[in-house]
Order: sequence, then structure tokens, then C-alpha cells
Amino acid sequence: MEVDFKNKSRDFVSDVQRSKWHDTALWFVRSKRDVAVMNVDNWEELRNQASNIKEHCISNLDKYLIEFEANAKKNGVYIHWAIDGDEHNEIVGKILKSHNIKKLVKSKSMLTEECELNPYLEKQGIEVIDTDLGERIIQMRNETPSHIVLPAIHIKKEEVSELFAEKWNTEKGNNDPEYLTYQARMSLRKDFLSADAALTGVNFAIAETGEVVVCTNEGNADLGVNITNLQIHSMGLEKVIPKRKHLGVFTRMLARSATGQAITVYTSHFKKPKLQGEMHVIIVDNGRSERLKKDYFWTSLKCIRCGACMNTCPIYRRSGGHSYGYTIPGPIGAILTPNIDLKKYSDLPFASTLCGSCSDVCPVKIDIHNQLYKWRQEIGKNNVLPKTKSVAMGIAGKILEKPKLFKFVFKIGRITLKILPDFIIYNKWNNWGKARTMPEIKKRKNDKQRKNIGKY
Amino acid sequence: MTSKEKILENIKLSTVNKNVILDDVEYLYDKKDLSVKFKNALKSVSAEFLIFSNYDETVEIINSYFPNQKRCINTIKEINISGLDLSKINNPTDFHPLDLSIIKGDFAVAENGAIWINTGDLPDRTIPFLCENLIIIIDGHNIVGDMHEAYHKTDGIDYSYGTFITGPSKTADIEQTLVVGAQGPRKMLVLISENSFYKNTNTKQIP
Ligand code: SF4
Repeated sequence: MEVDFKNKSRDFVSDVQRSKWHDTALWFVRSKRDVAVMNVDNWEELRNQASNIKEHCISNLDKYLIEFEANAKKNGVYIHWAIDGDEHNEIVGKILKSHNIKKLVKSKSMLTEECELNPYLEKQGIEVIDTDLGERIIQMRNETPSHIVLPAIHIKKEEVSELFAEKWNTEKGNNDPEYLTYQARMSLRKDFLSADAALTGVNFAIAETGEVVVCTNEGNADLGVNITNLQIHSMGLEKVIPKRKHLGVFTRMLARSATGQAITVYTSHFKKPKLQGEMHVIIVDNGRSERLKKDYFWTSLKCIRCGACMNTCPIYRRSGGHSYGYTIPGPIGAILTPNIDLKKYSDLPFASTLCGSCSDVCPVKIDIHNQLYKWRQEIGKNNVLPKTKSVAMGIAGKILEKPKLFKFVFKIGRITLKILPDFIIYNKWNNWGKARTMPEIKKRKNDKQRKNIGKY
Repeated sequence: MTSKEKILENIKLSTVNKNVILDDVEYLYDKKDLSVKFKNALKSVSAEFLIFSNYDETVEIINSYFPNQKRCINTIKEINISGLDLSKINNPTDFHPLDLSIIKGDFAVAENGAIWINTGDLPDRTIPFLCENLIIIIDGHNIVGDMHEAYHKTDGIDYSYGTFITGPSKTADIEQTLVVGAQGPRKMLVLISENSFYKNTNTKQIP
């Protein structure tokens, strides 16, 4: 089934208060990011370096992955390779089974969401507890994250309070985030103490030393990994970077871009297992090496999953992450998903105003908005345009081909927008009129300015 | 063909014509007002700090700051505070509940307030995370400017597990409201020594 972005986002937007709150909350995070970035003297230079390191590494991935594996093995770490999500889940299942594990604590990992690990393990009778607070809330509500850094951003505190009261018997009607967080802490403590294995995602893997780096704020990754004797780290193969010193660049950028913090509370470097412990790293492809083949689009693999492009995106902020129908929503999701299934996700590259704000904030300089534009062309070329688009675009194409006709239509547009009543604009055939007001028609700009517009 | 071979093969096919050269970058380390910057950074991450000049003082500070800490782990032998007898405990779950942990930080980072802990060297790796309150003692002369220098300083050091800790644990997962004290410590106090007392630090000296 194709993802129907417009209809899904309509549901989100129709709750006016919630969508307004969502918009404001994310813009607040974006503003914090700006302040944090301005405190760094050479931010643009750092972006260049980050982009260069990632592009270099991705264009030499085989070499660095082999180096990483060799060094990790020297540290006593077990390395596994998974071609896809299924194989990843099977590997995790096998490791857990061989140790007779009944309960696994997991810290945040978008990769395991991508692989749908939880349902797989649950089918095998293994209890999985997500230990990041946002993820735990979502797990208890049987939902998926709506943001890669702030997974529960779509949920209101009243709903959290209700959920906890129902599941944990906490005080009804107490909506205080501090109280609710403490209740979750108490419940999760029990889970940590009774778990017998831990799984985390990976932010960076260092080829030179074979260590993996995990960045978190809550302390849940470190608690889980250290309380239990069996630790598993799942990483997408693009997470490898050449040297330890490159962490200097990325640890300065990740949290600043994500939440406006100078660094996450915990930046943990797991290199060797604890005495009598076991450490496993699973390197997962799941379509990434295919993506690498694409000439123009391969740079999307540089992404460090900071979420900044989501926080800044006017469409994401007003539509909510679930409208994208994929684990990774927002602008980055909209350029990753067409690689997976062009038809299914053909709506997503159109969920953008192409304002370019995503590319401006991206710490690794992925030209997201250009890629969105190029995906639209690919979608057109492959004849998988979403229906509403193909009709309108067919007409628009005809008009744009002929400058005179364009001028005429433009003129009519100006006049009609002025005089048409709202019900013509906000009708069920015009998806983009939903929850949007049309711009006021300004006085005419001079002709020279208008000519320039066509040059871009 | 194994999955590893398939993946590597596919990568080889994909990366032809994509060879981006890695730039060699030299960093100029920030050396100015590091102590002031570090303290400001600590404030911004909700960590508290105090300056001390000798170890006897620390005992007083700790006792007045965290009175009645029944279950405590003190990993610094110069500080005369007795805690749980670690030799009698063989499983980290036995520490729980843990009121207070006292550990040493190897050095600190001025730009963000991070403190490097060689966590793998602690008697148990859970010590900095399981406690309600965490005290980290650092040498006030051992502060680097930024993360570039921090990684230079820890380069080549053989740790099994190392962590930059920056304040008490936090979350904003409920409606973006910052709550200090998520799953890890709920309070953190940094004790900064005026005198350079770590003669044999485990880390490289910066020229
Ligand atoms: S694309 Fe860039 S801004 Fe978006 S999540 Fe990835 S790194 Fe962050």
C-alpha cells in the first residue's frame, strides 16, 4: 500500500491544538540548536570536515569495515554481518537463545525499529523492554516513534499520565512531567535489575580501534549494558568512521544539532567486554550498499540521525512523524524511503516546500532539498506519480512549456485568488489547501524581479 | 557466499568512481579561561561544583552535601569515607539501591563540561550509573578546551570502556519539559581540586 501522506497528515492537523503545540515545541528545539551552534566559532568549517570524513569513509566502506572488524576482534568482540533486517533479527535471536536469555533491555536504536526486532523476539518468548523514556511510552502504547530523537513528541503529558495510571497504577490526573519521569524511573529500575542482556544502537564505530560509541542522555544504555553480562550493539554499516580523532568533530556537532546541548550527558566508548562478559556487534546492510550505488543519492548515507532537519521542516512540524509511514520521517525520511520503494513512498518527496532549511541545518551537509527535487523527477520518469499530482502536473507541464500561456494563467490566478471565496480553495480536491491559508496577493513586483525568478 | 562477502562485494561494486580524499586537519586548541568556561558549562548542564584544596576538606563537603548516605561506594582511597564493602559483592544488582558513588575523573572539557571517566577501571562498571547521587573529583589543572583536544589526550590509551559524563542524567521526553534525573544519577557534584594532585594521571600530557 502506498503511503498517503496528505490524508495521514490531515488527521494530525485536524487536532488543531495538538498540531500547533507540536509545531511550536519543535521550533523551540530548532531555536536551541541555533544558539548552541552560534557558540561554536567555526561551525561551518566543522560541517565541511564532518561531510568530508563521512564522504571519504562511505566511499571506502569496505576497507574501513574490514579494519573495524579486525580491531574489534582483537578486543575480544564478536562481529556479525547481516544482509537485511531478517538476518539481523535471527542473529540477535540466536545469541540470546544460546545464553538462555528471557529478558532484554534495549536502549534507543532506530535500526532495530527498522528491522522490527521487538515483535520478532517477542514471538520467541523473549521479553523486550525499551528503556529510553520516550520509547518506553511508545512501546506501552503499541506505537512507533514519530521522531528519531524525540520519539514521543506527538504525545501529550495528559496521555502519558493516563497510560501510567492504567499500567502502573500511578496517581490519576497527575500530569507533572517530573512525577511521571520518576514513576518511569522506578519501573525501569526493576527492569534493568531483572534483565539478563542489553542491546543498544551505535552512533559511531571506529575502524582504527574497533570500539563503538553510544550517545545518550538518560543513562539507560550504560545501565543496561553494565548490569547485564551480555551486550549487543546493532549498527548500520554507514556508522563506521576511520579514526578516533574524528569523534572530536562529530561529538561537537551531534547534540548541538539534535537538541541544542553542547554534548549528550553520556558519550560512551565500548571497546572490550567486561570480565566474564560477552560483547557482540552486528553490522547491518539492509539496503544500504544498494543505496551506495546510486550516483547522486548516495550521500544520504552520511546522515548521523540528529533530527535537525525534522525540527526545522515546516511540513514535518505541522504534519507529525507518523504521516510519513516510515521509521525515519521528515526530510531525511523523504529522501531515504524512495530508495526502498519508489512507488510506495512516492508521496513523500512532495511533502516539502523545497525551502532548503533542512540542508542549511544538516551537520553533515546533505543537500536534502536538492535530493527531494531530484526524487520528484525520478518519480515522474518512472511513472509512479501520486494520482492527485499526476493530473495537476500534467496540466502544469503544458502551461509551463508555453511562456505566453503561463503569463495568462498567472494573471488569471492573481485575479481569481483575490475574488474567490474560501470554499473554492479549501475543498476536498485541493489537498494542500487543507489547514493552510492562501497567501495574500501582494502588489505586483517589477518585471525584472519576476524574470529572475525563472532563472533558478 | 557469506553475508559478509556479499555485503563487501556489493560495496566494492558501488564505490567505483567515488573516491573522496580525507582532508588532514590540524586543530588549534583553545587555551583561554578554561576553568571559567568549564564551570559555566557545568552550570548549564545542571551539575553543581565546589572547589577544594585538600582531601580532609572533601570529607566535610561530602558529609554536609549528602548527609545520611547509607549506601555509598567510594572508589578514592585518599578520601576517608567508608562505604559498601565491594569485596563482598559479586553482582552489580546487589549494590541497589545505591545512594552515592564517588569516583575520579581523569580530565574535563571546557566547552561542554564533559568529564572523562575510565569506567572500565572502576571496581564495577555500573558505579557511575546506578547511584542516585554522583560525585566526580577532578584536578582543576586538568581541563582541555574542546573535544578535539579531549580525543587527542585520550589517544592511544588502553581502556576497555570509557565515558564522557556531562552532568546528571536527563530527559525531555514528556512534552519537551526538561527533567533532571532520568535513569542514571539524579544529582551530580563535581569537586575541583585547586592543587594538582594527580601525579600519575592515566592520560597523555599535552605539551
Ligand atoms: S539528514 Fe542531516 S539534519 Fe537530517 S537527521 Fe541526518 S544528519 Fe541530521
